[in-house]
Amino acid sequence: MSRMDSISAAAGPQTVECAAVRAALRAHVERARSAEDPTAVHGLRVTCARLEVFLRLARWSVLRGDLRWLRRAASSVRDLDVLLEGESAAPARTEFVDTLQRARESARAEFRSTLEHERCQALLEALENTPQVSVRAARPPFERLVERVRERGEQLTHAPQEFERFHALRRALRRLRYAREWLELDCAAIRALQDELGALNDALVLEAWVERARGAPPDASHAAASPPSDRVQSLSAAALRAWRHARREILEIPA
Amino acid sequence: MKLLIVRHAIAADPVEGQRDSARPLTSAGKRKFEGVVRGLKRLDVKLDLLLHSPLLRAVETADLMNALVEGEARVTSLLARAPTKALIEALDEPRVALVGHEPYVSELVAWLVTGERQLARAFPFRKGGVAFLEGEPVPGQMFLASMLTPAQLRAIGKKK
Repeated sequence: MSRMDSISAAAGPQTVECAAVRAALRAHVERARSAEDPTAVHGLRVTCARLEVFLRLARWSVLRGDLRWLRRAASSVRDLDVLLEGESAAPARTEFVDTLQRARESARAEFRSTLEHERCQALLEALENTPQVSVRAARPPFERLVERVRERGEQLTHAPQEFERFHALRRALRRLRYAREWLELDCAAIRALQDELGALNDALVLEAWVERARGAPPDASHAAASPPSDRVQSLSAAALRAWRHARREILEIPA
Repeated sequence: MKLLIVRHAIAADPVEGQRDSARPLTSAGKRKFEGVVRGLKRLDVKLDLLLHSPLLRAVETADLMNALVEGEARVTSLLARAPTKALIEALDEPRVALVGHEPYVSELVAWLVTGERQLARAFPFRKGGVAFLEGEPVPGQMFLASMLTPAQLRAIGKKK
């Protein structure tokens, strides 16, 4: 029985606490400070996102922006790590790989300066005192996260040609998944949909970088000058089908 | 710029074995400070930036001020120690609030208004009290518009 399912049957308050994830964040920060460690960068990004959702469930408005600030710096590095992993295997595209590597070095320098910023240390210190979350009290913020996924899904269904809407659904789903994980609810349906949306996002990010390497403005969005490739169109169709298939299950709120 | 300097609300007494940074607000402290925030709302206070110390009592006080924030909240260790130039340099928005601790908040007001930190005792804060400063954030060049106690702000925030 999940925590949410057990609310009505529980005799006393049930709580969730984040000490282990908090400790993991601290460890990732230390490792990322001391060495070039892609797993620490990835771990830091994930733990920041998980803690941000934990604070939502705790109904805290503060520290969430600080976690997003730290996560953004890690994401810039991580996204390029992922691209480089894929592209390094293609020797014919060395110039493009060079472009990615230069961008990664720049992102890495910014990330290092973020890790050394006093705000990062202050954030770690403040997180030491995060409260426990009562499962019962977490229900309203949990329901808001479900509602956000519903809204993003409807917006996508109305305009699936706008790739930003896939991204918006992906972000809303990520938060809902972490909330479900904190509350020990099943996440299989969300994970499967995340895989589809993740594949689309990776393809879009890659194509945006290819455009950039060709001289497009650096802020060129996914809806850039070139029409979407066959691969992107196929992945977006698959992601939309996956959303329609999983929608009901994902939006279900435990009694 | 408009600068609010806030001392954290009433916190629990230290418990043996507890870190000072982990002292939470008391229930009464939270309730009273909610009244302070209502007073600030009545005064039409809106914030582009809310900086707060990482100590729990300041984090919780800042959280209660969230309704006033139109920009972002940031945690900073610069508010858990004596004020420095780095703190003043962080005041980079038109409407900023700082949530910190004594004696540092008094020292900051003294520094910004008179240019002399040692006059801190002339600017005492009650817990949950607020100083309203205006002008360029340069030591000795800010104008102290008012310094209100939590009771005054709660009275301002009371419904008729």
